[in-house]
Amino acid sequence: MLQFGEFLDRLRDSFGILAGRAQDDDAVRTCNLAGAQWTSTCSIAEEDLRLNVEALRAAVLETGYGREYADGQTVIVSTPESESVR
Amino acid sequence: MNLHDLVADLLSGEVGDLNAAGELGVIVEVPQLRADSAVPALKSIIDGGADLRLAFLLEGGELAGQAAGLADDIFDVSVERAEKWRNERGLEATIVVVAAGDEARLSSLRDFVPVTPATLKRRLAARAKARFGEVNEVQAGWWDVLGSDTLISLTQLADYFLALDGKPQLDVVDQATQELPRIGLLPDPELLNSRKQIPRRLAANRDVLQRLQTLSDTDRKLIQNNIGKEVDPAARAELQAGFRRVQQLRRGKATPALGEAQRLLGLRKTEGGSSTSRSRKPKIPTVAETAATAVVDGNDDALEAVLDDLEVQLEELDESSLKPVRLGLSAPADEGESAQEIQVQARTDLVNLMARLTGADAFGGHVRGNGDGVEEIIRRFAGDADVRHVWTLDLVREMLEVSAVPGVVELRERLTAYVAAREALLPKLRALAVAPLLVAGAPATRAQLLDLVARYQDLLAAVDANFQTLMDEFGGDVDSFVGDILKLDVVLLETDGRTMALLTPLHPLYVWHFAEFCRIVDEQRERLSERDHSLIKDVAAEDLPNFLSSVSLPAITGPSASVLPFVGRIGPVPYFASMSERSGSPDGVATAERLLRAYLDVFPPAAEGLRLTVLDAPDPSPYLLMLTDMAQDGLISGAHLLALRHPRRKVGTDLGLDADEEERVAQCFRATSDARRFTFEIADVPEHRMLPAEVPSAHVLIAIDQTEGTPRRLRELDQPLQPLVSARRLRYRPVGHRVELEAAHGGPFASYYRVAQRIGSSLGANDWDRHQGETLVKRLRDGSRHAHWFVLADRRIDRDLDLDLLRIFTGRDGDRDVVAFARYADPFRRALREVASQYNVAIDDYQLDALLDELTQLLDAGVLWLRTSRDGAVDHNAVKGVLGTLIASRWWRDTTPNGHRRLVISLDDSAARKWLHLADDPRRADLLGLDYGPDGLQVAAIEVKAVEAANAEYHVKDGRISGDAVGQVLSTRALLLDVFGLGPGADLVTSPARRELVRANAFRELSKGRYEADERKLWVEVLEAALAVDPPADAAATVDVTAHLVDVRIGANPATLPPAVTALAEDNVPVVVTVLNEREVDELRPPTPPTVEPENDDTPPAGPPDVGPPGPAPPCDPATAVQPEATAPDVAATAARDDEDPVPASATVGRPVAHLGTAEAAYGEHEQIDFDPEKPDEELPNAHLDHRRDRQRQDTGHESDSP
Repeated sequence: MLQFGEFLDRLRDSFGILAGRAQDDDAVRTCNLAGAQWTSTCSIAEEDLRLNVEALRAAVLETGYGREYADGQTVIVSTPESESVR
Repeated sequence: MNLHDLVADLLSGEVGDLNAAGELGVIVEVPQLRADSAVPALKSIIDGGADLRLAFLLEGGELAGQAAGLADDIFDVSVERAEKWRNERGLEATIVVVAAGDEARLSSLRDFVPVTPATLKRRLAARAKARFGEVNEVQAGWWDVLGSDTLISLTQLADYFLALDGKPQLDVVDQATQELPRIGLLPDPELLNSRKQIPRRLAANRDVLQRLQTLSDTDRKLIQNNIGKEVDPAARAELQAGFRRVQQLRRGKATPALGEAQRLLGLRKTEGGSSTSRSRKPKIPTVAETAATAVVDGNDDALEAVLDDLEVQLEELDESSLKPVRLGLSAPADEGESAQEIQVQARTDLVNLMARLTGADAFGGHVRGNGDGVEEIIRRFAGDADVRHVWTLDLVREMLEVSAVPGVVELRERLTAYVAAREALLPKLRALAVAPLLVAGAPATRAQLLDLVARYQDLLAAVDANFQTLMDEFGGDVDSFVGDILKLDVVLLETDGRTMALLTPLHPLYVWHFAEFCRIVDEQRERLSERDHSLIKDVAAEDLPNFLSSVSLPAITGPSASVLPFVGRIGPVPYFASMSERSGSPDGVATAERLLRAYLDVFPPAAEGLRLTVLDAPDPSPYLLMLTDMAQDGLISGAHLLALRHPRRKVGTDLGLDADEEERVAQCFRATSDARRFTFEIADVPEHRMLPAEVPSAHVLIAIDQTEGTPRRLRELDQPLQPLVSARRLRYRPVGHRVELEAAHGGPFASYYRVAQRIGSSLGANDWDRHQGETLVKRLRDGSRHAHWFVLADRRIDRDLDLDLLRIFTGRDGDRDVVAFARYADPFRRALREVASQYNVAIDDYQLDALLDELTQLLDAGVLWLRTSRDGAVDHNAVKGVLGTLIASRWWRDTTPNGHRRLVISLDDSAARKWLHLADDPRRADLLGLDYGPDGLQVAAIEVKAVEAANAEYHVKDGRISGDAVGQVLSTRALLLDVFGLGPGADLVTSPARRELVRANAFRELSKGRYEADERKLWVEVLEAALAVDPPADAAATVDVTAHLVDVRIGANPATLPPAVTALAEDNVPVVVTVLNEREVDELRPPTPPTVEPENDDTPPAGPPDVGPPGPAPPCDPATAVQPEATAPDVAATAARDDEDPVPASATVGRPVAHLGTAEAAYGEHEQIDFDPEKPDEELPNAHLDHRRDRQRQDTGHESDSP
């Protein structure tokens, strides 16, 4: 089980995938996962990136690989919800 | 203030406002916030009276809170405390939760007012608008745009704001566009020029930036193309710098401006008007063009400065460079005008070699070099190590010193004068090796050059005149003496038993034609017409011809003296070789390009991947450049160039490209592109084969210099020379019944050969005798099977060379003949068929091929006019023009009066069009009709019009004729009068050139297979007598030049053709106008319908004309053609013969027939169609049924025309 944030960290560290969290902004803006200026800055819509994170979270929940708790936390699981119930 | 402070400040302002508005809670998720700046900022509003409860969940919150001195009751770092505050009854303070966004239990606070980066961005924009909006309205509008632009982040905007904040107003105006990279845009000084265009420019900026950041292969190529196409060196340098910035942009190190990026991508024209669109690279004038123009325009004084400039640059050349170097010079400009740039290509290797072997006491030398050909030896020239001897005049001087005999004294004086004249030119050596016409164009050096030539000629004349004296004085040593004179300023290159020779730039026979050209143009400038001015400029700007057909040398490398015939040029310098070797010159490349472009018209799919094979090209680089140009013009999107070479020692290849050209070629041909659309391959061919066994098929195969030659001695001739075109002579050779065109010498050249012959009778003028023998023809036939189009470029190609293919082009380009053959005649046939189908004729492929064949016999470039355009359209007018020429030429030949001989020469080649000022328009053909009879030679300038609108081109009224076509034929006649020595301009510099043109065209005509030996012999004699500069008193030919207009009206009813008339044009010059229709061409004659014959009549019915294989032209039909000499009434009397008119189908019959109706007959008339029940198998008079029947007859092998 992973916290959704941890899951996004894994995505970033293992695959270089940025979902668009606030902490991704630097990397997106500088086109560099390390955050330092690599190329010219590019235009990004931060609000859109956040929507992206939200959409990913919704998708994970929908596919059953995530559970949402009352405190707003989302946990990623390796067994889909439906199977674990069975 | 830094970013975090600014964001904290914005936040505090926002929170203050929300508190004032009585909001219960605010949830702040702004990643730019830092505790150390945000907490004090919020504290400041608390201090200012705002009632807040602060839950700061970000890192460092606790410390910051303590540092700010915030009490625990209003400050905490947990979500739980914020929840408690929210649940605390009666609390009126605004709860501010500053979070990262992913904290647990934060969702319970989601009903608070969110403060996001977007909120703060809007706040910042408003603040900036208030601050910078004072500057001008555009600034205010700009910040409105920024505030609502979702593609700009708070960090970027804050950064941008901070860069401008605190700057003086004036600076802000400039900086606002300069600092655009801070918000992820390219600098764009024009962005804020007007408020209206801001959104559009912003969008364009993002598009361009995105392309640059991705920089696809296509875009990279496009940028390089655009740089390559820029001709202005300053603009090009700017673009190159821009491209460097683009490359750095991707590394975040530099940023090109928007305009610059747009220019690189071809989205915007470069400043100064030069275009970077996909047009062909505009040509920068060469130094030769500039020099020719200046000399012709009488502006030659200005060339002195250009020459000085060139000399300075040549002195500074990097001697180690093996590549040709392009030097930029400033063209002479009028006062107040900026000077245009001109260019010259300098071969450093050649200049170095010459400089080393030429000096006050160095007159050329003997170099033993390494390398396969002359190019390679020069390129690899290793300095003194390779030099075997440097020629000096020591022996000559020594001999001349020891004798006081008058002849020897005269020689000594002349030698001294020659050496002095030569020394005066030594400083110009390098310039002469690079731009001889420029040196000759500058008046001061021209005088020196002319002096050098005169002194050399004096010297040779003295050697010739005093030869006996020399023999008496020095005996056998005289051969060495003459040998040393012949070696003057010759560089002998020796490798592997082969000997080649170059003239040094100071050789008088090299500089002669440049100096002579400038002298004679200077002298005749006022008398030359405007059109001739531009013609001469063009001719001189290209290479002036080399007149020295061979160099004669004493025994140096071998036991005996030798003659080395001319092979080609290295730069401007001619070179000679002991064996027939392939010329290194690029002659023929321009024509090859023209043919390739024509090929793409005919076979458009080839544009996707044109396969070009070049066999034995001296240097494949012109073909690489050609393909690059075609790619840049959008003509092709891929190509494979296969360069085949017969064995040479070296494996690699040196491309003669300068750095600029190399860059352009690399754009297409580099190996690293993803989808390699352009490829280049070099392969060797076994010596005994023409092509490798497994050679892949090509669209176009160009074979170069395949014909071996043997040196041939030339007759001794001494005639006045002119510098534009080398003089030649027609000669009939009884062996093989051939006509030859031989070089003819005069002036210093004749003196040179006379001296040479003093030491060896075989040392006179020589040239190469080249013919395509049986073995070669077989090889060429085999080779041509591997391509759609086969192009042969050779020093000389027989006009009757037949490869069993359709000859579509015959021409000459520099020192090479170029002939093209097409494997498939369909595209040409189709054009002919389409046009023929309009004339009520049914014509099959067999007939079309025969017609095409005849056209190729008559016309040189004409058949190419028949090609379809790229979209498959046929240019009907062009086809009619070509057919009109054929009709007119058949008419001229077929109306030969008894006791006369006639010859018709087509003037459709580019040289004829150029020299005779003929329009390059297929609808207006020009022929030269020659008629030789008891009264002498009549030369008819024939202008053929073959398009319906001929009436608009000439107009006859009251015995006078006028119109455009008349002007053209009169102009041609006037030039021909000069050519045959009958006009006022016979002595102008252009007339001998035109004489040579007529001679060359006559040669090509007489070389065609159709002429018998006696005809060839006769015409050679007649023409040589007529073209002789000083005809002997008993000359056989008296020449008369007349003007003819032939109006060909294809499809016109013979009854409507007016009779021939002679009308007077300007200056009372008589012009004969003859109107013809297509009856000269069997294939185009309307079929005569079969008639229904009376019963029991044994006479076979009249059938359609014979459509069997075409043989020689049928006798002339007097119905449609008249003797040019005939007067109008005579013509009327011989009007259409009855038996040639279409016969009505309804012949009188004595039995009932069924009337079916009427049908279109020839020339728009109608005929009655009947069905005869007695003859149910009788065919109906339908042209297409006739056609079908003919086909059936051919298929069954019956060629007879009985129906």
